[in-house]
Amino acid sequence: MKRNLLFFISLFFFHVALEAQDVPCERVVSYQIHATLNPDNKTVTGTQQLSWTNAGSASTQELYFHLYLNAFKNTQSTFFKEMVARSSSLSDYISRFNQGGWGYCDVRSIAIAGTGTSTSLLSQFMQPDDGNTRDETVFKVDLPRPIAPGDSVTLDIEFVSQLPYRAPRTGYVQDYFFVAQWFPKIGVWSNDEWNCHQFHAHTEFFADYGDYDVHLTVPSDYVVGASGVLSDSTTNGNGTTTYRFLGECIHDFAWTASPRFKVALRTFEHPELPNVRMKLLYQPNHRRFVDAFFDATENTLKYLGLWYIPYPYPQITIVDAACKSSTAGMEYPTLFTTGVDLFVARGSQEPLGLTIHECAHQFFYGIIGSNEFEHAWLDEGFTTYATSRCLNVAYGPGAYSKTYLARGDFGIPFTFPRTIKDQRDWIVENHRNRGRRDYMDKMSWEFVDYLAYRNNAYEKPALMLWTLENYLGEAVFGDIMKAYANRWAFKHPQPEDFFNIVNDFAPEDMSWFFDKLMYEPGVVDYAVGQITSKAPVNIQGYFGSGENMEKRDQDAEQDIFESQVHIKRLGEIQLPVEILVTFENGETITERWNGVEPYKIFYYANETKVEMVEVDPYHKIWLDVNPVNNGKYRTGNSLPAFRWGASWLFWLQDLLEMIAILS
Amino acid sequence: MKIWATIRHAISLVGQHRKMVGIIYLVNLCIGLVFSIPLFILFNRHVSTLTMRDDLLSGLHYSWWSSFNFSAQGLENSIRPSLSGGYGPLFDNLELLLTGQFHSFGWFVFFIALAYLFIAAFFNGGAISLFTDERKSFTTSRFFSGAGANFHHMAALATTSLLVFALLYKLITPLVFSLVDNIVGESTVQSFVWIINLAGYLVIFVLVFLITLIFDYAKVIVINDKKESSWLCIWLSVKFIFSNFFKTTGLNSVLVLGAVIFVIVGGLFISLVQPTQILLLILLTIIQQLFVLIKIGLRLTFYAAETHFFQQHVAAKAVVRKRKR
Ligand SMILES: [Zn+2]
Repeated sequence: MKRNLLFFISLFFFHVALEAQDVPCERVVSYQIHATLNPDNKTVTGTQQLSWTNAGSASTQELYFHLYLNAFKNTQSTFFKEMVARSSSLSDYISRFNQGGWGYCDVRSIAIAGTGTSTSLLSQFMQPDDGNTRDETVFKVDLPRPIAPGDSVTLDIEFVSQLPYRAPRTGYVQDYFFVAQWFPKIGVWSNDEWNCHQFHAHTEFFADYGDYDVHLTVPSDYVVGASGVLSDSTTNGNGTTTYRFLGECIHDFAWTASPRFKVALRTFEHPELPNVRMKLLYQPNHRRFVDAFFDATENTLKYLGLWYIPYPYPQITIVDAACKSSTAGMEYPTLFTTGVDLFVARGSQEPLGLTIHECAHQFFYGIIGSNEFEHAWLDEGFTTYATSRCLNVAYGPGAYSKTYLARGDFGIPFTFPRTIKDQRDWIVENHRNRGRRDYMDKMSWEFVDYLAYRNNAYEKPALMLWTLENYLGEAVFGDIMKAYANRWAFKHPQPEDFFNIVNDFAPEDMSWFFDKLMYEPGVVDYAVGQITSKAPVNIQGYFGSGENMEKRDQDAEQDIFESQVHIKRLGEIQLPVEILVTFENGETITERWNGVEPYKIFYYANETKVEMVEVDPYHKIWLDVNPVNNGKYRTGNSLPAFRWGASWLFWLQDLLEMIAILS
Repeated sequence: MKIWATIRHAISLVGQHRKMVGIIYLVNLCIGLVFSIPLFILFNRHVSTLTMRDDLLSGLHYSWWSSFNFSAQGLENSIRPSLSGGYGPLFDNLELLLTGQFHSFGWFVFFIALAYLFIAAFFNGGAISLFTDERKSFTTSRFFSGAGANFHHMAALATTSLLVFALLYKLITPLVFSLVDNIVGESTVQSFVWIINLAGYLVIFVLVFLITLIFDYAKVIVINDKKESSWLCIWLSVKFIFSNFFKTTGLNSVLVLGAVIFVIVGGLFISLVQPTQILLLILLTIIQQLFVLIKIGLRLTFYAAETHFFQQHVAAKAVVRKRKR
């Protein structure tokens, strides 16, 4: 018994030792923040000590900071100016903020630590992206002396953050607080210039890695979840408690607090991967989804850990966001938000899809810190791809579901198990609808509209990666992804860095592939056109010459059918394709076509007629926006049309009878 | 007056006049075919040669549907995944009754339905006039002459009913749901939000129930009492229903419950058949058509029960009056 106890104690310490391993990264920033939440005023008052190291090759005498919350300060911010194009949400937000409060982050003082002076540094708002002088989401500080490469500076900053009401990704609703983009956050000194973009209508974030030591003081009845790991807590005696969270090698810090949260804890364990403590903060009426939240998180940590890179942090915090908050479905380092309706349809795979997507961002955003402002596809596209891959492997295809009487948060979901939905079907569907809008590699705020951003950040790159995987083969592509994740963990990769790794592993230079997809708008669509198989024509007419010329009229020599197969390119983007032609005697011919011309005709002479033609028969090209036109029989069969015609008739008859009730 | 006895009597009455159910079914089928045959031809052109066609027998392949729907226009737009299985078509239609979004499947379908409303009104006149005179057996000529003789009343009532329903969906429904939204406020408790919204739909359901009840008895009264003004009958119907509130609503509640059970059982039968081959496809079609036939019978059972109940009530009143004398 005792031996067993000792064994478990040693196992416990071993676990702690394993978890406490240092996460390896270049620490550019170090934040020490003391913040207090005032639930009545919806404010967070904070002091922050920031140490910043110049990791570049030139010195700088100015520092750039984000004040993301100022996007919600007034209608003149760049966020609102850009929202004008999406007018429906614009008026929503204005009325929301007028009702429940606008948001801002006000820097009360900023000074160099340890100088003994309390003199505030001179600062001013900057608008590097659009010159909108009323936008206050970026500010610049002039230092008294330049910071040389390798040198550090430590600043003391006091700030007050007013949390907006139901703003995107942040803010509060009732007693639920999701505190994100909430503190003055330094930009990235990259290529000897400041990379510090304003807050736009649909951009996300970018920052350097470092350590966060954050003390959060909240009312004692509040449950708190945050990036990093809870190190200790102190009850203050005035009805508040201070929680200290430590986050190593992360590039942002978000937290949440609400008295309603329920907490569940589990540990992710896999023989080939480090253990991860999973902390779930869920809504009281979501008890029945606890297993699903954990299961989705575990599958993501497992598959993405095995495929790409092991999740390196000791903990992950899953936040089931309050409804009406606009914060469900967002990623922060070691913490992500998800959400679910009160009732979900069987087979709809909610909340799995959203949970896996946000957890997958721990890899493509959290560990691989690409610039979300400039290359949104490097995080959203990779995440969308990895999500569908993980869902496919862990759960298989889903089924179509419809929500009846849908109204805001109300609805009665119903599954149609006969309508199978592959995890990628919705991606193809969206890409089909908006694939021709703009091209992929653009600054997120420069896309022509929100749909173009969605297409080029999420759908097109995800389908591009699926297509690339099928083109190169699962093994080669697996190596590519692993190499990319390991080489660029805790760094800031550019698109070229991914292309280079692809070219390192691929048997051919794949630049043609990326050139077409990254820098040209348009879609891929190949289709089978006409298929004809005709009996040979009789031998008729004049044959020979001179005296030997004779007129002949006789039957064909052999029973050889002459067949023609038309393949069409309907999309703008040209990719090489395979074509599989099947004859009635079971014989098959595989053709390869470079896919350049608008049409390609293949001719055959065979003992039997062509039965079926498939372009891209193994469905490798997930970019094809219309896979339905990829396979065709030469002859028709009316049964499917009859089946659905009859069901449609039945529906109409029932509708007529229902209308008769109103007569 | 016993509810069960009335319903039993109504069912036997409909059984006695079953040819009438057949006639209405045939009209319903013919109208359905007029629109589904062109749709079938169109649909056949899209799918008959696709390699995906085999999958399309057992279910609606989502990727097929989404790409078909992308370029679909007009009537084709109403082909949708919820048509797969037994419950989808029925739930889609029931949803319309609570939302009033009758144009959601396209204006073309809306106008077909509107035209059918008046055809149904025509047949209602025939059916109720047969039910009011229980001694006589069914003849087609009596059915049609009853329908013809009462059409002006039935059409007037149907038009009024339409206006009342338009008022319900355009004016009262938004009011009910703005009240719902006010009660819900900024609550983050999903179950509360859900229940209040459900209550909103229940209010709409009760209103639909009451409106149909009023117009049903108006039809019965105008034919049974041979009244001149159908508008007056709406008022008489309201008076009748509210003076016998528990009996009239009780009778129709039991009938509605029967209809709900019928939809659940019928939907289940339709769901069970997976028509992967021609015989199963024929079986599925037969079950679907049987469902429509029974549903028509069920609607007529409502009228039969209401007519019988009304006549019983009038007779009982007459006896009381006689005794008083
Ligand atoms: Zn995402």
